[in-house]
Amino acid sequence: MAEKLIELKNISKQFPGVLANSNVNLTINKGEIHAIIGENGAGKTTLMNILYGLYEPTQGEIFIDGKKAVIKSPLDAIKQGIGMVHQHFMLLPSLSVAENVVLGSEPKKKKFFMDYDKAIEITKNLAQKYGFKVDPREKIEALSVGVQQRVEILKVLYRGADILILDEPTAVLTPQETDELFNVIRKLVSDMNKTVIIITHKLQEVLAISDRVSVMRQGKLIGTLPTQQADAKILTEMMVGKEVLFHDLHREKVSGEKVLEVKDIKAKDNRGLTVLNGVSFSLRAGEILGVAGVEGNGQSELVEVLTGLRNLEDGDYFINGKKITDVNPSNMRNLGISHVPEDRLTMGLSKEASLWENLLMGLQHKKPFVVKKIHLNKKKIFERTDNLIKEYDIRAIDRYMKVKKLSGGNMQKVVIAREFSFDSPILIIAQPTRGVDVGATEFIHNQIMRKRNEGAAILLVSAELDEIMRLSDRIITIYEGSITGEFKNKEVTKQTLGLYMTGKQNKLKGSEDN
Amino acid sequence: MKRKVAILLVFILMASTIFTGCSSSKTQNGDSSEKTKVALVIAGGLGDRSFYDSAHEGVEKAKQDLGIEYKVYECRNDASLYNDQLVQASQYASIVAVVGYEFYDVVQEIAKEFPEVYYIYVDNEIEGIDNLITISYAENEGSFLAGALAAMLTKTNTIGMVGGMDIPVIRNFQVGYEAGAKYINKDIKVETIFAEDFEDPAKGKECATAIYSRGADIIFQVAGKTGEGVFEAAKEQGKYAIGVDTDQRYINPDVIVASMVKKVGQSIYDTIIKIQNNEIEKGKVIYYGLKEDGVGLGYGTDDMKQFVTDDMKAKLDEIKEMIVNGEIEVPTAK
Amino acid sequence: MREAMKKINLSYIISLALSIFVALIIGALIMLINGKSPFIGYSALFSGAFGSKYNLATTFAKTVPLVLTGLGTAISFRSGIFNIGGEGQLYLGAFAAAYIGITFTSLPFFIGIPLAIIFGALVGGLYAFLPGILKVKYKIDEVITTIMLNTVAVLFTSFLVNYPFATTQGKMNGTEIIAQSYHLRRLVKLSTLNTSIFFMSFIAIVIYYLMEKTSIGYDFKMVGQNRMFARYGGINDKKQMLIAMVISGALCGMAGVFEVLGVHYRFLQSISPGYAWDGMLASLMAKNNPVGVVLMAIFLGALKTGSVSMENATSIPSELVMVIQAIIVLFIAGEAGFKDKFVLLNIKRKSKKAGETNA
Repeated sequence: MAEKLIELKNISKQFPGVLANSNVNLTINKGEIHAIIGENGAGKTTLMNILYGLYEPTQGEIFIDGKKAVIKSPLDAIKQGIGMVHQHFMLLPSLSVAENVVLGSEPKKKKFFMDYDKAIEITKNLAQKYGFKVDPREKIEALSVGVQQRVEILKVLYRGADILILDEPTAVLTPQETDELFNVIRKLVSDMNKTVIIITHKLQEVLAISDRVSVMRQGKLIGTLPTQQADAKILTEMMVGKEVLFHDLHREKVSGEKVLEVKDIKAKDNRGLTVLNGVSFSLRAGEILGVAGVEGNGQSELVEVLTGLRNLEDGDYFINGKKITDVNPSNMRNLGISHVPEDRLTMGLSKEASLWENLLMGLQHKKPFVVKKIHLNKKKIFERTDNLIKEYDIRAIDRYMKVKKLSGGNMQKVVIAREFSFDSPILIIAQPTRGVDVGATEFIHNQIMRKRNEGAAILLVSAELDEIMRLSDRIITIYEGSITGEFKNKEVTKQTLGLYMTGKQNKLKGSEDN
Repeated sequence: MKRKVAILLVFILMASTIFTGCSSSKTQNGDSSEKTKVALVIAGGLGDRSFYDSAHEGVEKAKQDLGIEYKVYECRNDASLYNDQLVQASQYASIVAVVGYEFYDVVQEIAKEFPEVYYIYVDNEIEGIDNLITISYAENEGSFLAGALAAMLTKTNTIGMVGGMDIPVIRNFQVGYEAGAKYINKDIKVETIFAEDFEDPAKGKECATAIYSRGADIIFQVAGKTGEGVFEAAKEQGKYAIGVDTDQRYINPDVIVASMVKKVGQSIYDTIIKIQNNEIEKGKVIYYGLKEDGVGLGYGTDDMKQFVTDDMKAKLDEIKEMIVNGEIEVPTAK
Repeated sequence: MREAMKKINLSYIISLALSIFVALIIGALIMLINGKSPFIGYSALFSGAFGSKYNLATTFAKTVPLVLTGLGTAISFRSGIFNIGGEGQLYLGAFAAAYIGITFTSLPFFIGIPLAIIFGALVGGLYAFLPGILKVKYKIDEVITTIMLNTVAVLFTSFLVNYPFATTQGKMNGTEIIAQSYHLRRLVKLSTLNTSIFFMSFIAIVIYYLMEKTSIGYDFKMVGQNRMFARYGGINDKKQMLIAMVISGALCGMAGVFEVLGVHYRFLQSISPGYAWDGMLASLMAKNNPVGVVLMAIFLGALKTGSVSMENATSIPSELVMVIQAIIVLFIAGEAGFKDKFVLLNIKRKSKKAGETNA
């Protein structure tokens, strides 16, 4: 039997209006990688914030090494050897790596001045000890996200942490960076005798790295089991409370007219470099066209051009056979395009605004929501808001709730609800389920399929090949701003798509099957 | 957004300090309520060691000699307070001394509302209101002497002036000063800069430094508190300055060679006596020029190092005589 | 009513009230250190601001320009464009009104006054349009340009009133007095409170309606909160920012107009003691909420009026109020942190209570 290191007993946490944790009992063993998994808003982060001293529990006790521990602030937690790496990094971008690592307990020179050279030395030694590749003198802002994360971990280790809590560490990482991170974690545990708690909602990662896994749902701990005994299906069931299978979606045969067509379009990115280099394709009513590609190959810009958010430098753009000359967001919306943007927080929503305000966008100048030209008809607006909240199962207290207080999945549902409610003939959807939990993903997929079956023309851009393969009728691959291939779904394998997405094979533009 | 808001708040803080003068204890309550109550309303703030402080000295002297009691109402150059402070002063006192050309409109309005109160108005001219006596100074005459003195002292043939604002009162100083200088030396160069502020020594210093760098070696400051910056610049550059309103030599006797004194306090004091003795001509303007000894030059006290030689003083007395006689006609900006 | 309550940001109101309270306590301590009684000081301040009809009128007279500049600030800040040029727009608006008042002297009041108001608003709006267009067309930071244009406006009007438009009556750095028909009627004897307060109230209601109840206000808010989201939703963000800027400038211009038509009856070289800055403070205190702006403007107006009376009555210097205001400013700057502390405190207390009942 493994040695118990941390015991959380009967932890409950009450926030105004929400019981975030309810009687949670959790044991962490020494030297293990323990994954805590659950849907967005299940209470994982709250629980760990309690352990790290950011919140005080409403009730319950924490034992470390069998002794009762009072953790009232992160300082107490650090004293107990607990360190936490947050989902959003707490680094100062204009300072160097070394300065960030030692920040808070700097080596001092003459009592008052920070000893910069010593800080560099400390950081170098630390990095060597744990096998991290970082230059202590580099400024944080010049580093990639993956390296920044390593700096965060270094910072925690510098404070002498033996127990590391990582909150959604892979959310911002590329697959390669994720692999590297996992190697680092394994090394910390096996060579350095550390204990790691990792919060995530990605099943594959849990199975890949953890020794034991605890599942949380709606503030409660559902159970803890050794990872060997777990598989994706068991964990999913525990997380959502019902059996969710990524079963095939009902697909009606809808034949349609060609509603959107682009010929040889070109666009530049924000730095002025050409990122779309002559892209052509067409989209029919009642079909889902998936765009598969490794991120950064022009998909984002393609979506922006089609929705009028980015300048169309060259090429032709037709909707219902008519050439569009004035490509701007308002015009494209009037022509019947709805858009689910890839990043809901920067573009799809206003965090500070209420639910009803977020759901209104795009209709604020349209009857019956506005009368006498400018007067907002709150009655009609609220009616629609409440209907959408119900229809799309958005979990919110009321329509005045600020969107920033919703969980990621519910935020995405707000965007989907708004854009789908316009009944636009064309839907341009980017990364519809990024950072969204399993239950919400299933819901969103069903909604997309419903739209298709109702006859909408849908362009789907996603970094998740599984998603593209599940939903699309046709798939095009994009590589370095050009289309490299076009396939009927079910007639292509993941492996083949991968070759086209990485430019190793190229059909070029010869295969338009009109 | 947060960052911008923070910057804005700093600006608000800065802006609010602009309207903050320094303040001294102002109420001098006597024991008996039967004493004559005098109010002194000033457009700026006390502590300028110049115009307003001079007026304050006048009422203080009246308190010592005549046994009145008084209160000071400061407006700190806040146009929105002119009316309010004057109203409060009128409700308190039977004699209200109003100092600052800025009160031109409100003093006429308020004086009509309080017919039982006497108003002594300094720095502008209003006629025809029975309970309003205005005191007007011939700044141009005093400045003529200052100009003549500056012309006698300069070695670079260039003299300067820092004005508080480009407004009629200050221009009246300016024309007198230039005329006086030209009277001594036809080819003299006079450099004038307006600081656009009566309360900011930093601006005064900036202006003075600019003028010194153009070759001037003596500057006449007509800028209230702003003028203190002129003295500082003079000290740093080893140049000279002429003070204004009160005899300012005591501030720094090594650089301030003399002052053009506007005897504001004295004239207020005199007028209070006249009102008490019922000798006043109602609704009149009282002129204080060289003849009435309302303006003139101050050379400090004897223990200070004297830059102005006896010969110069004699010459200046001679000029003064000629102005009083009308042999020299001093131009005016009014 | 319950619907209305839900929209109110209660925790912010509490933290603001707490900030004000703490600032007043610090003010009281300063009085004590100087050997004055805070009780006498604050009661003099209060009665100076509200104690009589005259005092109340004076407080409201001070409120008029603060409400207008405050709303001007609020509408621009809410739209994500920062108009710090209120002072300059106020000066130009005031001069424009005075120009009408001394030029078209024979117009009857019902034409002249609206003309002066509209012209003043127009001039203020145009003066804000300049930095606005520089911002949306060339991405030149509007904070910098508007601040600099303040100085330009103050010095330019200073030139105008000392040379081409200088009065010939008495020594004043102002224009001639505007024609009698332009004078707004005074409402309370001795006080400068005048009918502009009715104009102001009307304008405030219009701005409230615009900001809270219309699609235009919705567009402003969305552009200010998330410009990308607004663009994505089909709002012409640049146009909205420009419109907000012009409205903001027009409101500040009108603040100047009413100082001329109602208070001074002429343009004065230093006509504003920093109204736009106090208005901005009102707006920041109210988080750009139009109703809050009006309340905060009254609060600041009362502080100002009361402080002068307090100084005259008790010889506690009115600068004390500056200190109090500065402390409030600091609290607002640290509002986020302060509020979180407050919430934390509350939770701690609650959890303690829960612990006691458990034990």
